[in-house]
Amino acid sequence: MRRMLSRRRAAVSGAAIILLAALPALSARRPRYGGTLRAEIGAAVSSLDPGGASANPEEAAAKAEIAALIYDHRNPDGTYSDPGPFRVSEWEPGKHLTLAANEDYRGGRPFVDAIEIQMRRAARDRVVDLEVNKTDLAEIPPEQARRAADRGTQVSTSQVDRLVALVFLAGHPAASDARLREAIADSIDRDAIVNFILQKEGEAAGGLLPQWSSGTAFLFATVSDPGRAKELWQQIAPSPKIVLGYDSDDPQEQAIAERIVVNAREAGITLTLRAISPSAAVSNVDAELVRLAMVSPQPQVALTSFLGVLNPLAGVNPDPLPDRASPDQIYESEKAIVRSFSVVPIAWMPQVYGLSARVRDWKVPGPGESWPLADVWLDGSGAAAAQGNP
Amino acid sequence: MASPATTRAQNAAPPAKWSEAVQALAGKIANLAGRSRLISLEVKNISSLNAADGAAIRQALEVELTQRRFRLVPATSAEAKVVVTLSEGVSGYIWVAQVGGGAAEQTVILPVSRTEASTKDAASGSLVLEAKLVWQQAGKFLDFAELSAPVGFSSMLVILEPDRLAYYHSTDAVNWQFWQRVPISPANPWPRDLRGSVSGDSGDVSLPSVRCTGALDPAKVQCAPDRGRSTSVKVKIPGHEESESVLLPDRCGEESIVLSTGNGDWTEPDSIQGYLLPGLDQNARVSGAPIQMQGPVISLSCDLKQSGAHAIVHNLKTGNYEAYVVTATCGR
Repeated sequence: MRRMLSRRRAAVSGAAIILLAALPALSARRPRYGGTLRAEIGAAVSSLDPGGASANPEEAAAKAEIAALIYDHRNPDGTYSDPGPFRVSEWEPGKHLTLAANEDYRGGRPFVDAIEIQMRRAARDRVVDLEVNKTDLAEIPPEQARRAADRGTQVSTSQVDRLVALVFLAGHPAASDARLREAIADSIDRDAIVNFILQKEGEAAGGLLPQWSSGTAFLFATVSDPGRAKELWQQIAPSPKIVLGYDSDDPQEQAIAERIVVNAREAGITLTLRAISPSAAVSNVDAELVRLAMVSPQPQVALTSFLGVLNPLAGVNPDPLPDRASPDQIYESEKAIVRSFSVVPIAWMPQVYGLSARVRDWKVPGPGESWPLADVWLDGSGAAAAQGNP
Repeated sequence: MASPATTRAQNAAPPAKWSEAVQALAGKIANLAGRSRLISLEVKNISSLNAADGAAIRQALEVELTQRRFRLVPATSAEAKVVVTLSEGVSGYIWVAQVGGGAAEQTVILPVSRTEASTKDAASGSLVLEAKLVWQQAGKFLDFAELSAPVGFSSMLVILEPDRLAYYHSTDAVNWQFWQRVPISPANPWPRDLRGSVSGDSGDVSLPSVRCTGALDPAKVQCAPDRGRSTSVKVKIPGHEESESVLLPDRCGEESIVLSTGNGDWTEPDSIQGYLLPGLDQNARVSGAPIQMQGPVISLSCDLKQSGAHAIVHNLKTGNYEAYVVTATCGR
């Protein structure tokens, strides 16, 4: 029998602070104010106007992160309002940005005094700068995470939330035969892409949502079936010529596209590669590799957002999900798209950030979240322990 | 508060919290199996459920299916193969049954809520901690108070957020409906690491430089700048100053009970560990298994009314802030 617990309310209500005997010692976890955080990004942000055009998706993403630091709200129409946790103190377009802590921020003054953002730093340079302690924070490609960690960089990896998928473009006759699309899908060795190109920093994707979000991704097969691919391809005569496009600025995407071509060739399928400039309108390719970033951890929200991109590209039009769709309904919607073979999920990737040893309370942003730089603090920066506002 | 001791044999029985879900899943499997009476059952656990819960769920499912006149046989002699996967998504557990196989395979998916964590399997003679999820929301909050009411009357839940007291009411203390709010306007911006507490026992609301009066009655509560000192009880443990620690009002025999969080920062999952303290000047000793939380415990405070602790957890999987009542019982 468990014993009744005896009450001892008076023992705690009479004193403001009770000093207890020792428990095992713990490390510091309370934030401290002060210091300048140094960050590096690959994009060259040419304008801080959140409504202004961006040259490429990388600049658009960086601009959105900066806007989330200097504004408090993103309005439904995409505009921003109200002062955020930081204000711009120095700005050299395309090169350098310094943000200073907003002392009057309604959510509380950030812990760091300032953030210096160095722009247009290539991924390789960012990794090196982290190694030599020239920067405190930089996003690094997933395939370089292990190397960076081996060289002493603190690596922060998100759950997988970015999908690489092969999309057969609607209205292209060469890809209109479902057997052809299925043959190419069956030929792809996703495990090899994850193990060799992504250096195991990712997961093979069979569905349009990751397992941690939907809980049903395990129901989608990810293994290749070259025998079935060959069988389907042989049913199609004459053999069509398929052109696969990839982002010319993205070496990782190029490596994945080349691997898909090798896999297809092993199944007797001929694919031709074509590099596409991100700023050019997509044309004369039958399929292309796309990257989709989840906007929410909630499966219904993430799937709806993906469909907003995929519908115009691939012409997939599943029945709309009801409000508060059940896991069953979400799974059926995913299944309908995947079984059309118009969209072929290939791999899930995480976001990977390298951090210097003094960065504390960095939490890698989840889907739809921004860099949590108002909550980050710097250890050993000579800053005083937080006792309230400085 | 007292409850019968549990033996290992009893632990193998289906936990009451799963019985409803097991019945629902068995019903769905029965519908798909149709006229097949000889079925095989394979249960895979790819969720965070521990092995004991997985085994108990399997056993309960076997009992349910047998009661529905199915006979469980090896896969080689089954008329229908049933594979159940205990999975998990961001919103809770997902139990999936695949019935049949090959092209004829049919799938049912059952969402199962994830509302409780406990250390009921802890060794005897040690503290057993239980954490009951009371509330979760996307926005940050600092503390909460549950004000219970007689059966048939509405219970009240007060959530202390940085800029308001939010009131919810419920007839079953499970499904809460928003009722009203009382704004809180500090004279100066809050510190980034804002802390605050609300007591269902005394009606006190404590925030830096703000005092709320009115005993939590939403018609009377008023919050105004105040320079008075906070009177909340803090537990300071040498070598442990920066973790969240709380001395519970109850005792385990002659020993005091202390709960303390782990040693991570606010970016990683945390745990709550129970300690027993023979005397305030003696060393505390670890007792029982810790409760693993799905994010950092950002606040741990004593709840005199419920003789437990309030834990506010920032769930790193969902991004939500969660309110738990953590209770400790001592086993023999």
